[in-house]
Amino acid sequence: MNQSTSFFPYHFDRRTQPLLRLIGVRADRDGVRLDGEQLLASFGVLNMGTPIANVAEASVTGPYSALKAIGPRLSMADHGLTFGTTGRRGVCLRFDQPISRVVGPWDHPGLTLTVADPERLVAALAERSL
Amino acid sequence: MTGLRRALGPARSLAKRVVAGEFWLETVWERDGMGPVVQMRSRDPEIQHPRNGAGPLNHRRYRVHIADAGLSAESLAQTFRMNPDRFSPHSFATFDLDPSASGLQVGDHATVRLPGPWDGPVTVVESEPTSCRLETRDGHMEAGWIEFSTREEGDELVFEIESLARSGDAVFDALYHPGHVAKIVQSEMWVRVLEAAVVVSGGRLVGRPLIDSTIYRGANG
Repeated sequence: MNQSTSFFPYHFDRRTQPLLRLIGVRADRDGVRLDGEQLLASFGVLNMGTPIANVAEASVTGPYSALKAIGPRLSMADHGLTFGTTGRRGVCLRFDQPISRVVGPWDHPGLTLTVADPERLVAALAERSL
Repeated sequence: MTGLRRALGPARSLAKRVVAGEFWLETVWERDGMGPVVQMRSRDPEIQHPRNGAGPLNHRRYRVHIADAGLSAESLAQTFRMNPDRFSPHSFATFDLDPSASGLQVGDHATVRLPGPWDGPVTVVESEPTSCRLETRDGHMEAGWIEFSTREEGDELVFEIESLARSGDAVFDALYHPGHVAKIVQSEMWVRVLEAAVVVSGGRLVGRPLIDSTIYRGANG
């Protein structure tokens, strides 16, 4: 089975995957795609898209507290968004222009994505930003 | 009864999609400008040009990325050209060809049949190894063009549908923009075609079906 060069699936914990499936998140469908000049991410019925050029910073972060990281999360401190599937690790993105609101009433200046291979996503973003 | 079943087809199809968690990923961009100049290739007087349509200009791209496909981009495009109805969601839409024997060739007429008064007559204006473009004719619910294409991107095969059109009349535009119903049904129909392309290719879908929609409000003048 070939690995996509522009699609980055999430990492799923065995225990949390069935819970996330209840809200429509699927291990075989959801993830992050770098599509031309756009960064797109889906999380069940939720999704977001922004130009890759709007990504000011991308860094590998984690581990996180599973209680705080799993599910679609909104930080009340900075209105950052998380599409979380694991407490293991992920990629934290910071945007030049906040993305339109996905959860809650505020636009999001940042987004954390718990992809299975955070280093590969950060490297791919760096490569496309050149 | 068949007509009623067909009319309810989009709603049933959407309900199944929600239950199965088979969502698409759509990004929508609203623009104030007129949008790109729409170049229509056919000189047929029955062609329905966007300048004779109603409402904003809608530029939409629907696509799927397919891994481990058993067909090349050319083979998948050829399969579509020979029998586009094989890709149709028959519970609410079919693709009638006239003539049908040799598939879609430049100058052919075809009709996308939908529930209600929304049949879509089109003319084939381009037929290339990996793409096929259709333009709308009088009576179509939209005024513009639609193109079906395939390409290889790295290890993935991409099947894409791109359309640039305004609504054919004010009634359809009312259902499309303020109402959103027509836009959702349209999305459902083309995503079903994309999903059929995945099956026909023998591969598997990577990620969600993607839709980009750019709405040029300035064209509504």
